[in-house]
Amino acid sequence: MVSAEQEPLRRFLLSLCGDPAEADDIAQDALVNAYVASGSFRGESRFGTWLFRIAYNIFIDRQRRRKLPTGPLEEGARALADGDTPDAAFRHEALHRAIRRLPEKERAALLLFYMEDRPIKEVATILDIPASSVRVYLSRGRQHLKALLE
Amino acid sequence: MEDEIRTLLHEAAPQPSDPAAFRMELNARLSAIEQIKIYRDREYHRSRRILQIVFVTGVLLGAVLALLVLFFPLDLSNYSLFDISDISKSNAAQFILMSFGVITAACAIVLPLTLSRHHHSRFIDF
Repeated sequence: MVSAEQEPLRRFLLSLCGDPAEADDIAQDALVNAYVASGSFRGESRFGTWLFRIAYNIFIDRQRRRKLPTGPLEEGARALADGDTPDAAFRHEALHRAIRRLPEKERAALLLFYMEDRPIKEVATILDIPASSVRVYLSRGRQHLKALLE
Repeated sequence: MEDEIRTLLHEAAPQPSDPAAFRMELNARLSAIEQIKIYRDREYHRSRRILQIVFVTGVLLGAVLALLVLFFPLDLSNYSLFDISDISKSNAAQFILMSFGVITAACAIVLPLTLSRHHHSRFIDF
């Protein structure tokens, strides 16, 4: 279960915070916390949803504690587009830069729904908000992203 | 537009680097937790055994002392609780024995209970 969720979790966190080291650190913490608290997993949601929620909470907690916007925008976006062809890298860099300019909830909702293909109900569980709020965040996020990319 | 964003994000999805190194670090952390768990369990059982021994020893010692006092009864009619100056030399030893027996038995019951409570609160609940 952990192996199956490890890659999507790292990808999501990497897109969310933009810093590979920070993303991996959060992913490690989330997996360790999930392991330690596995006894309290009641199976009300999928294991992956529960794990993503733990990771997202750690991300929020770290952001609040450190109050850092997770590294410079340009550098982070370039790191995420690293390894692509020059043309794709240019487009992807612009996209990641735009994503990172989005408000945190909109960013997380967009990444979970579009990039990780999670259903709205799961996104709501992970972000700990009602499904109707997820729809609002997705709608706003799409508009913001469009505006930022134009 | 939704499909466009989905395709765009799928294409731009970053690839996390070196999954093997990540897994190795994770395994190291998890085995460290396992070590702590093993240590905690060992300490817990060791403390429990010590507390059980203290309890049984205390009760037995208290019982032996109480029996000693019962076999050699103390004449309490001649002295008050606050004035023990009139206790005869023969009664003084019994008085000390009885007090010691009562205190030991009380400690044997109270101490393990207090310590076990403290012991539980000392450990992180995994």
